[in-house]
Amino acid sequence: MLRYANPKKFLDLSAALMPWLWLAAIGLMGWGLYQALFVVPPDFRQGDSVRIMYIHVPSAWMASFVYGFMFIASVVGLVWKHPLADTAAKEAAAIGACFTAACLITGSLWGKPTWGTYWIWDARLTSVLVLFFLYLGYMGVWAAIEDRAKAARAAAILCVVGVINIPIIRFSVEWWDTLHQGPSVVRFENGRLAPSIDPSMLWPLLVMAVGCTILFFALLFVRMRTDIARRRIRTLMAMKAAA
Amino acid sequence: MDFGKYTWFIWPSYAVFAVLIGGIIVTTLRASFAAQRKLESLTDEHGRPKP
Repeated sequence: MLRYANPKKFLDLSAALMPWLWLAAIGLMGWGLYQALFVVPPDFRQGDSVRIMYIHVPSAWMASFVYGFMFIASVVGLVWKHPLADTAAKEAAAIGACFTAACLITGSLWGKPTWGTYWIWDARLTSVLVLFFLYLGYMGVWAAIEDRAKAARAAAILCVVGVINIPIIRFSVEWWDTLHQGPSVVRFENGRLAPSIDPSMLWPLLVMAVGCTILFFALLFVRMRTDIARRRIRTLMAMKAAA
Repeated sequence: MDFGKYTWFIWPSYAVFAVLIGGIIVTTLRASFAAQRKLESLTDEHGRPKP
């Protein structure tokens, strides 16, 4: 993995992978959305409002997954100074912020018919809102500090400190009494992990989650390539100005 | 598609998802094409800086 931290190798590898990632993301998400809106049955208790689950739950998973990815990239950037680690963390942030915003807004729209309110300051909702602000803060640090090395270091430290919020999000529904339901896609039953929803609802949900994950990597590769291209443009412009 | 009393919650949810995810896709691709065009204007076909 580390040998691909070379920008040249990354550009070659990403160029080969990107068409397949886009194709897989569009195919999986297209199928998942079609199933969610037109095929899966309504829930016996929540009725058709359960259709919001197919975008809300993958968005929630992605919100935490992308932050976890940024945490690993930040640690690699801080400790080993790999040239692409800071770029990967920086470019992932905007994607993570979009998924987190989607999670919060779709959750709010699901909450109204289910709980009777768009918002409540319970542990799960509040910790996800904190995650959204962490994404904004992280992007703000990059935007505010002109020196790239200093910005990368400050943003990475913020990301590493903020990772404490991820287990809080995950376990908030178990540690505190929350209006938000507990883990309900898979549960421990009789000592083993088992799905707790019908396969006709589980499969579109899993396909949407995989599609969103692949979309994340497709977007990340494009954004990292753009960042590398911009740095090259700045170097070339500086060379021209100096000549 | 009518989802009864949930219609006004389901479609706005999907619209928000489409706007946010579609938005990040469009802005990402636009920025990429702009950077590639600029880079091409500064380099030759072998990727070397133009004199």
